[in-house]
Amino acid sequence: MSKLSTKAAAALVGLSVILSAAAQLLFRYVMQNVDPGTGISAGHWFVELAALPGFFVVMLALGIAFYSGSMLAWIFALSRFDVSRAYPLLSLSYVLVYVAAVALPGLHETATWSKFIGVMVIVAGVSILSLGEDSTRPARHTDA
Amino acid sequence: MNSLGYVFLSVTVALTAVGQLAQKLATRSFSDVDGVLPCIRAMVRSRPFWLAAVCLGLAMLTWLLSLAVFEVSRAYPLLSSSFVVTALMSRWFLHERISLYRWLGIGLISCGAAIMLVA
Repeated sequence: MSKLSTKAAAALVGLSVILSAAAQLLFRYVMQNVDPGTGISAGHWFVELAALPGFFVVMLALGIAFYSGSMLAWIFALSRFDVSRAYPLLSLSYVLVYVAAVALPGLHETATWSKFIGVMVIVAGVSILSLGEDSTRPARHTDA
Repeated sequence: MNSLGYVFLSVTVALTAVGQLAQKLATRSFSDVDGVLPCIRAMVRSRPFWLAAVCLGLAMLTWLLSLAVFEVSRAYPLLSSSFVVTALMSRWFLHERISLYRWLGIGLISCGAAIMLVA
C-alpha cells in the first residue's frame, strides 16, 4: 500500500474520526446508565457492566465495532502520515462528539460559549497543522 | 474516588500514545504489499498491530472507567495532554521531525481540547 495518495489518506483520517466519534457517543450513552456507586474494586465495574440490559450490551458491542473500523482506517492513513502529524487530527472527533451530544436527544448536553471557543481553537490548530505542513513541504504534493 | 479517576486517565493517555506508535510500526508490515485485503492480512500478522490492539483495548477500558467515575463534562482535562505526549514520543522513538508549524498546531489543539473539555 505504498501508493496511497495524500488525498486518500486524508479521507481515511476523516472516516476514522467519524467512526471514533460515533463509538464515543455510544460509550457515553451506555456509561450514563452505569452506577459508579462507592466501590473502588475493578470487580465492581465488571459486575455493573455485566448487569447491563441486553440493549446496552448491543450498543457497547456496536461501539467496539466502530472503534475497530476506525483503527483499521487509521493504520492505513498512518502508512502515509507521521504520527505527530496525523494524531492531533483526531481532536476533530471531540468537535463532532460535542456537536452531536448537543444536537442528539438522550445525551443531555448544553451548548456553552466556552466549549464553542474550544472548538474554534481546535479548528485553528488543525488548520495551522495542515496548511503549515503543506506549504513547508511542497514535495508532498507531487504524489497526491 | 476522584484520585482513582485521575489514575485511570493518566494510564489512558500513556496507553494511547504507545498504541499510536505501535500502529505506525504496524504500517511497515504492508509497505510492500498490494491490495486492501492482502494489506490487512499482513497487518494482523504483525506484532506491533497486536501491541496496538492490546494498548488501545486497555485504554478503552480505563477510559470507560474514568467516564463512569467523573461527570461527563469533567472527565477529560488530562486527556488533552495526549496530543503533546504522543508528539514527544513519536519524536523520541520514531525520530519524526516536528516543524514549528506542527508544534504550533499541536499546542493549539491541546489548548482547544482542554478549553472544551474543562468547560
